[in-house]
Amino acid sequence: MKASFESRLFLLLLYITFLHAGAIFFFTRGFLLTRTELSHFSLCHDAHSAPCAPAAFSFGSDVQPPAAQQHSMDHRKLELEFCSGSNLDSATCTSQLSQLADGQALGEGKGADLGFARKNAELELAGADSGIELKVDAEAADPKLSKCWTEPAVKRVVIMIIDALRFDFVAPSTYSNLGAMPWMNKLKILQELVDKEAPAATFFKFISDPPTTTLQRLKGLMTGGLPTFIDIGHSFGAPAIVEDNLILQLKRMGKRVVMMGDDTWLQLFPNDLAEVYPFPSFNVKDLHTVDNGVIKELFPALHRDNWDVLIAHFLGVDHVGHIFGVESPLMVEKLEQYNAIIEKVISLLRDLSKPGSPHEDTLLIIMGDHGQTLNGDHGGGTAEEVETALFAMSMRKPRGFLPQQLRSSPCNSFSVDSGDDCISTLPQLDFAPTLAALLGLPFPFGSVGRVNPELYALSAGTWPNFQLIPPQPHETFVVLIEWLERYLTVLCINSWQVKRYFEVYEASALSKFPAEQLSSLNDLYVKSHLLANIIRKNQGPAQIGTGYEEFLHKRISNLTDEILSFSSFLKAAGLLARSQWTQFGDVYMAVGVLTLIVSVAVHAVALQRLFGIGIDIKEGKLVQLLPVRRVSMTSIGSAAMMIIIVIAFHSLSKNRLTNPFARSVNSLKDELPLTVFGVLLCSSAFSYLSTIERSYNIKAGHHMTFQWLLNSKVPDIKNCAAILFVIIHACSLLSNSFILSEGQVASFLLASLGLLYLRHAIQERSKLLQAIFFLCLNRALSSIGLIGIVKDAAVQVPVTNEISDSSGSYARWDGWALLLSAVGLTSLPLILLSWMLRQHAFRNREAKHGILFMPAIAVPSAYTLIIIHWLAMDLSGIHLVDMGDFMYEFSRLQLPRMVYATSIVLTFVAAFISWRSTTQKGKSYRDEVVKDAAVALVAAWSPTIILLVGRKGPLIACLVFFAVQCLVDLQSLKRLQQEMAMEKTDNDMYSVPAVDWNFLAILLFFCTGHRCTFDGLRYPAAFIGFDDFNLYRQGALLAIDTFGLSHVLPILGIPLLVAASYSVSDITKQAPLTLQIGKVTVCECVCVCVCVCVRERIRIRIIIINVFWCPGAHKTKESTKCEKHCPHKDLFTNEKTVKLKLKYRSLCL
Amino acid sequence: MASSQCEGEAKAHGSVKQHFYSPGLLQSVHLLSAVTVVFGVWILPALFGFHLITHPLQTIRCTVGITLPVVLLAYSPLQLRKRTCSVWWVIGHAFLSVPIGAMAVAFLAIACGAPIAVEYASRTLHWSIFMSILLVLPAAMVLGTSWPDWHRIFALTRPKRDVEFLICIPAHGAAIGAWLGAWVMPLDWDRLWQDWPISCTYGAVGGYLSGLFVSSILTYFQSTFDWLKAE
Repeated sequence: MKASFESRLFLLLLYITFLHAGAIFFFTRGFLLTRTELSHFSLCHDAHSAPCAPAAFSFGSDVQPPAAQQHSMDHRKLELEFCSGSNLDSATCTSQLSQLADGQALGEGKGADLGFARKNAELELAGADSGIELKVDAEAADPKLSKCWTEPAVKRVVIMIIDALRFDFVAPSTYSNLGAMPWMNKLKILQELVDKEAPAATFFKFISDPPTTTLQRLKGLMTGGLPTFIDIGHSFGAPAIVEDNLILQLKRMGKRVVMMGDDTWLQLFPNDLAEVYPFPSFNVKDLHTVDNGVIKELFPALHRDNWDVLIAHFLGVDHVGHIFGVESPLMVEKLEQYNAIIEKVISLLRDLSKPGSPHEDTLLIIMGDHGQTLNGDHGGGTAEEVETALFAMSMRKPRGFLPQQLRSSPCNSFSVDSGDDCISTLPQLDFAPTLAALLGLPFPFGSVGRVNPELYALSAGTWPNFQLIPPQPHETFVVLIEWLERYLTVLCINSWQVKRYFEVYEASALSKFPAEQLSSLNDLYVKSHLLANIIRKNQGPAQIGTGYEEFLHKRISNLTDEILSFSSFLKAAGLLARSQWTQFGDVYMAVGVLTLIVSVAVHAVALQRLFGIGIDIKEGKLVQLLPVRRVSMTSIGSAAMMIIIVIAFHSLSKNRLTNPFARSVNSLKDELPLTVFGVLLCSSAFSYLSTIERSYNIKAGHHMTFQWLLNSKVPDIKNCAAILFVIIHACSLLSNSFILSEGQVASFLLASLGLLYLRHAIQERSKLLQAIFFLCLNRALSSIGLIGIVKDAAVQVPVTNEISDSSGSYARWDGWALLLSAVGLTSLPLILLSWMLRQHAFRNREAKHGILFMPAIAVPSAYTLIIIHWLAMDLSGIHLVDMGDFMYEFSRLQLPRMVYATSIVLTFVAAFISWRSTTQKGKSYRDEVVKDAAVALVAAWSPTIILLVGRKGPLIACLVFFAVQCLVDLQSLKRLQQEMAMEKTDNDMYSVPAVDWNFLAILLFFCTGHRCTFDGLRYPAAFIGFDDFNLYRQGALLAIDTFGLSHVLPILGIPLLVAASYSVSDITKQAPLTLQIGKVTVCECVCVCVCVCVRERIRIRIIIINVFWCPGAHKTKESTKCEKHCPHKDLFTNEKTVKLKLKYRSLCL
Repeated sequence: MASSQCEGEAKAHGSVKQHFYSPGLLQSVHLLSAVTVVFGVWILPALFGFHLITHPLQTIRCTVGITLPVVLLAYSPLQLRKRTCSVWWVIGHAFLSVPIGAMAVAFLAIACGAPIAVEYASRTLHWSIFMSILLVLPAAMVLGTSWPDWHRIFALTRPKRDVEFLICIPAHGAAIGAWLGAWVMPLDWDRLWQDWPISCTYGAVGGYLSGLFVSSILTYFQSTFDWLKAE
């Protein structure tokens, strides 16, 4: 009977674990968009393996003439092609040629930049065959044109980034549906320039992708990818970009980048920027420091010519938005200030853009990284947040206009009168490849964007250089064809690069693309190459009897077709990438949340039934606890039904997919395993829940409620408060505004519970001290979290050099004082803790099991190792004592490993001994074993966790130890009272300790310096004791650091709470029941904890969904910080909980 | 001499005849407390040109300045058990209760997360004196040093009759109100009134006023009944 009870309990726990795991799996599959960072880089010579090395389009020979020649050659080549291809008599052909030659001869000597024209003319005279060699010479002679993937078209780029630039800050109010507002159209200078300078200046609606936060956007702009909140990669920490990016490519090409403004750039590119003038972006309330700093540095920098790319990042608008909102007059002021700055910059650039001046060939780009809502928030995916503006202006006028097919807007002018369509759109994805193409860099490896034709055409350098004077009738066509060919080559390389990225990503990433879409993408790629080949084949002989002009037209349309087909491939690739990295799986998320809700219900019912069992175990009630057969039969049956239905339906309705129902069933079939899994989850849960009505004795139920009513004449305030607090806490998680101070909220609630304990203690006139002490400890814990009492150097272990640099300037005395205080603060609590442990262990020495024997020796020595490790780190950091390298390395790497090993060994030892001693009978003895096993486990894991948490760890651990002691004491006070009142273990009774425990865990999480954000993970902790990266090992360490003190230890300690409060009175009085109740309570506490956790987590999820779906409605400054919140934590929490639960169960059994 | 008399009375409770007050007196004490607090928090500071949000310290000082004497005055005719000592002696003792209560309140506030930084120290002090006047002073006036009554009314929340309602319910209201008022503080709205202890003061005053309202209703029914019975 008893064994059956225990095994059922175990199965129940397993089942609940299964439910949780399923729910979390579904939710994370929908929510956690993960992208794997690849550490591949594009290299210059890669492009040779592209199928569209420039030659493929021009001569078809194996010898690839560099595009530079092709560029100057195209004009001539066209005519040759025309002459040979068409069967015109040679006279016509030559007459046309001579016409051209004359024209060019006239143009000779017109200016320096006609050199190419002259060469062209010479080439023509020399004849087509000798052309190749001549041009090779020309290229060798001109190092400026040495090219990598594409030919550089601009020499220098000035990028001005205005953070959180709304589209309507720049666009006239006719483009907005809000009507005319004071903040609209404030950068009038840009509009004037577009009107006056076209085609040298253009204006785009710049579409970013969520998450619209500066860091992610900058990363996206520079890598050309779609960063998600968690990019799995080898950086594993600091936001520094490890992927291939523009800045890195610039550095590799030997170009210098100057950056001024937002210090996010420095975080992203700590090593690659040649010159940096960072200003802090942290203080949102400071509207002017960054901008004034940038202005101060910008103008001198523009006069210098020791850089190739200049980035100026203004933060004012973002900060004004955050603090005052878009509608404040300060915003208008700020925008007007920018208008003036831009005006100055442009006039300066113009002055310096004469031939021979530093800015002769400069491209100016003014853009926003993302938009903002009217409240100044950003992070989500609404139009307001996503739409920003990009203005680009080339200092030299390009020579031609693009054909209409290549524009994304039907009209060309940009003014107040024109409608909405007149502004082209430019996805932010396209920025990186376009800039790379313009600068002649290899495209960043992970870029999935397309070289934008409009932005590309803006630079004069992409247009052919020769001039025909006087203008020839066909000149515009010739020029255009040359441009198109050049662009086609670029686009072809672009497609090849995107294709390569997809292939490499597919091969090495953790989360794959859907196979179907990938194959259709491949088809597109193959098709566009096929098209290119077909066109090439048909080109020659097809044009019999046509004139030169017609030939040119035909050529243009062919080229346009090819370009469009490559474009469609690239656009499809962009779409696929977006669907993978920016769109959530709504269905999965909904299923996950539903399953969680159901699992909470299952918890509640399971608890109810556990309490229903009570003291005397009856067969019927036991079966109810987990009707194994019923649940498994139902779930497996329904899953099988589902499979059959789907397959049958699929085979029946193969051809009739018009019916929406049939289509949905068919889509289910695509994800059959998942569907079956979902059905399994839901049906089992429902069958479990539905057992109530059948087997519950109605009379007994009545009896129970009746009794409950009788017993709870006066509802216990503390119970009500505990439940109320959980609800309040859950609601506070729902609100965005509370999330940043979740730790404070938990501390406040815990303190409130402490007040209730105090009240209770005063009522009973006992344990007053414990209650007051508990309040103090709680306060101390929360303030430690806020103020770093001990400077936490442990976090910086991997970058030891930096420490020594920064603290090298300490006076010797200061160093010693610091060291002494640090040692005192770390070692005293540890000594105290180990003393307590030994006390406990040796008090129980007479007990026959030796569970605590090992920990009592090993744990203090592990603490000693920790102190030595820290001491060594500090000493070497302050340079007070010169240790040998060997000693240093030993204490840096080996000591932590020894600590980890101690923990693992102790765990096994404890498990083994407790397993062995369960063979001996005797309830009180087993009770002791359970308790001591819990102590042993907590003790075993404490060194590892303290080491990972860092210098604060010992102090916090010590405080927590005392707080828990107080809490346990207070519990027993309460219990005694209740037992006097009624000899019944009530359901509510356990909710208070469970809630306490839970709040304590949350508080611990925050006061150990963690935050619920992905960038709040303390990555350096993962490298304590290790230098190299291993996903599983470092991941485990990180998980232990994150959840160790806050979740692992409390969960391991749960039996302590239970046992401590029962052991005193019950062993004598109700000895046979103690263990039973203890066990029930263990599960109960765990369950309630998990219940509470789950309830809260569900709330968090709803927030996440809300924030992403309607970010405008929420008022947070750093909503994204919160969005990044908990799935991660949750994942770990639940898994940890569940694993530990299981482990503990096995120990108990 | 007087002190020993008072304590002797308090200890021998049960044997002493309990006082009953006319409903009129109790209601006027209710009204006077409510009017004083409203006057002290809003009207008097406004006369000086202060507002709680902009000048929390000065405002609370004003409030304390007006409420302290009025509460002392208003509660002096009330006593739970017949006392033989003089009113001045009672007032003197009650005066002592203010700093002691303030210390307790400050401790609880800090335990609940009130800032401990130096620049907030005087705010915490002011606020806890104010709270002490609302929570402790009336009880000290009425109950004196009769600890069983303190325990019954505050720890167990079991007030039995009119005067006890008057000291118990508004005090609980003020405490709960202050607790609720603390809820807006962690919100990230960056408003001035989220600063410590402004929202808590508003909450406490709101809770106190509603407590007065409730207790005046209860007192009205019970004291009318008791008074009639005693007559």
